[in-house]
Amino acid sequence: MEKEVLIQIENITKKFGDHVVLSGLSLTIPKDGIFGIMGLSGSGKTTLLNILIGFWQPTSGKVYYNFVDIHKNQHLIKQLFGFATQEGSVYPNLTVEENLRYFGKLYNIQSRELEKRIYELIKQFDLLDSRNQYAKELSTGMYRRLDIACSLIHNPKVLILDEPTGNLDPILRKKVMAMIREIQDNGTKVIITSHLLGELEKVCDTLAILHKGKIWEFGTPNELKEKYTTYEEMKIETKSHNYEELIPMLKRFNTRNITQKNKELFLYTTEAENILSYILNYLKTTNDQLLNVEVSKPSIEEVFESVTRR
Amino acid sequence: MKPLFNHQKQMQEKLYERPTINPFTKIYFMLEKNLKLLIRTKTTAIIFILGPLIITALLAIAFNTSTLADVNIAVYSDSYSELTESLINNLSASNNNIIKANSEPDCIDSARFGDFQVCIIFPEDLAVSNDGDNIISIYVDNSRLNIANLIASQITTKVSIESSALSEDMISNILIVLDTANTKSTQTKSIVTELLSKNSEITSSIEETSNSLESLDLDYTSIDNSTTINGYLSTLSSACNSSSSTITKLKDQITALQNNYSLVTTKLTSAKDSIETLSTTLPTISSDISAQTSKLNSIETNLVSITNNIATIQVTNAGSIATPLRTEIESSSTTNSFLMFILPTMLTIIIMFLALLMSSSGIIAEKESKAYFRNFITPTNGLLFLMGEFLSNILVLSAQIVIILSVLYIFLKGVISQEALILTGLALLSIGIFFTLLGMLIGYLFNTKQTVTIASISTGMVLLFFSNTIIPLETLSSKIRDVLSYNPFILGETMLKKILLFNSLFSGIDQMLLIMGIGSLIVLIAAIVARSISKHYFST
Repeated sequence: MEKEVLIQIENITKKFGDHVVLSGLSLTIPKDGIFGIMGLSGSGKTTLLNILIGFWQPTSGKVYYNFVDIHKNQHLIKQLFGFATQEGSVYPNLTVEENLRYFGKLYNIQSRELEKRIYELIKQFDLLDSRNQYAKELSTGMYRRLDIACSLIHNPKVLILDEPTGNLDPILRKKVMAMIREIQDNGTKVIITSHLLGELEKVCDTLAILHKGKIWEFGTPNELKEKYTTYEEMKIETKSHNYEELIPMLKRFNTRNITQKNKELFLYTTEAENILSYILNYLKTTNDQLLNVEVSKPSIEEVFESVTRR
Repeated sequence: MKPLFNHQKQMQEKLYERPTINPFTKIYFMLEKNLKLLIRTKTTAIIFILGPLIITALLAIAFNTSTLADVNIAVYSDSYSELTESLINNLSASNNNIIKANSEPDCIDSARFGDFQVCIIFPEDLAVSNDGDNIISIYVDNSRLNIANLIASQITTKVSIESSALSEDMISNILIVLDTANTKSTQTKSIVTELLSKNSEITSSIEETSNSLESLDLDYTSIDNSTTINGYLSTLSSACNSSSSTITKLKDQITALQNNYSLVTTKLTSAKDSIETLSTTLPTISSDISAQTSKLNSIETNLVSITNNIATIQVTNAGSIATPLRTEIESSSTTNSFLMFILPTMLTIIIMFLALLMSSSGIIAEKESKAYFRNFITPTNGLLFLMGEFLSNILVLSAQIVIILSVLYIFLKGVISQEALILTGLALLSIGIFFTLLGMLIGYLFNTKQTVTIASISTGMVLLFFSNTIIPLETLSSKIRDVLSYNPFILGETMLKKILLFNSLFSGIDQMLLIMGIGSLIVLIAAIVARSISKHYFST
């Protein structure tokens, strides 16, 4: 089913002097779902995002939002797009409220509406208790929430997040991702970049792989996985947790990366059914018991590695 | 991909959501943000307020005087004469510390190495004489241009005064001698005139005498009558048959007459000879007298000439001859305080560096701030951001100007009028506006704190060097001077001088304000361009 297009990027190239960052990049960002862009460090993700928000003009090519040329309608696009940078873009010596108020004014929000919006965001991002704290005094997670809140102060149609979970611990990353999902559910289209591919896989509905200045692949996480690998990931747990004798035997099948992590055995195979059948027989002979088995497609990291190995 | 025109139009209509709010509201919020950021950096806030306060107060306390104090002077002479001692005493009377050096090299070295401000070398046995080479050498450290000229000028003035006094004495003596000569000339002239008159009389007398002598008839007919007379006597004696005594007496008489006649004829002959001699000699004498008369005339003429020449001397006052032209340095300003003299320059320096450093560092702080990027992606015109930054800096600078003016008013109450104070504030503001914009331009052009600071200080130093503060501009060519007349530092300094030292009104500084305004506009445009280019900061 063809998805409704929100942003159309047509053959854009971006050079800084002689250095070519993006080369003939074309991409369609659908209206629905969270859109993720994966790429190695220095692949041009930030440059692409800066072009999307109209900060940079592409050297050549066009970008359309709802059929409107972004770079010919800068003033309009700036009102509709929000952007949160990797490092955060707030004033450390202003309080949470002051930052929101200041940026709200820059986005032409009238005072009454602004105060209401500030309260909504502070509440939504759990910053109520720290509304009068200076931004520099906030914890890393709160600082990131403030940054995203400033990006949402003007109720944008599209929110672009550049590495929103960078430098955060796993718990905070999870919280931020949950927040992103909530933003999407509230009606704001989210475009996100990250080098943490596992997170992107979990939260994004559509992914694009940016490599060497171009989009190499595009699709849902499952579409990408199916396209790039026939191997399935198996996770096995037995009662004995002893896999010493089993592992050599499994190597006779078409398997790779057989590893034991804690009490579980992981492997990749194209013969999941055969292996499962073999293990069941083996366990019978050894009087062991199968506690858990999972079969799934491999992670998006593998897909990414396959693409970027080219 | 070609968007469908109607669909695009519908999208655009849907997309238009929020009208722009009043730009002044945005500027107000930017001002509020900038001031909050400034105040919340406590050390910065303290320095911005205390800095100009302390500098101005220190200047006012230190320089509110009109004389040099405790100038150390080293002197040396191979032999100190009375005149030398008199000069030294004169110098020490003006609060100068005089030390006699042990040798000439010691004296010169002391001035060179800063132990003493001046070294004065007096000639040996300084005195006024015909063969005296009375050069007094003054050694100063010319690298200290300001004080070197001041001290050298003071010492030269004192020596000149002493020299003038000596000249006056000598000239007085010369005038007395001249006067005496004039008197004697006049007296001599009258004698000569008398002599000339006498000569003239003598010449006339000689002429008369000569004429008289010439007119004397001394010719005689010589009578050889002794035989005749004797013959007659004999006849008579025979005829009369008188007594021989009578005839003898008659003979005696006749003999006597004959003798007298001989004598007379001899004398006549002699007189004639003498007259002839005189007739020959008198013209010579007359000629000699004429020659003497001619000389006497010449003497008279010379005496008259001397008297007339002496009479042509119009200036007979010894003081006026010794020092025919005097210079007196008058201050064109109404005050003699060093503070007032240096105030225009110091105020310009303070405001220039304050504005340059404050605005440039403010811009770089904004650029280095993580929030700088977000400003570029908001639907707010870049010019508003620039105006916000500018107004923030001007607001702080205005507060500093108020502090400076308040301190000045305390120290210079009565010297500066309130009108002058207001005009000073206006001039300082115009200087501040220009340099604030220039500082902002520097901030947008460069990307690090260090570079911006160095660029700001370098800019200020260049403008300062090419003003009259360090070296007189008259040392440069006229073409360069013409260009430098537009140096904003010079414009600002000149405005303040006119207001503070010469009580100028607004009409006296309006042209310069206009030039500063035009300059500010040019820098503003450059800053706008630089700000848009500064987006590339994010590509580095």
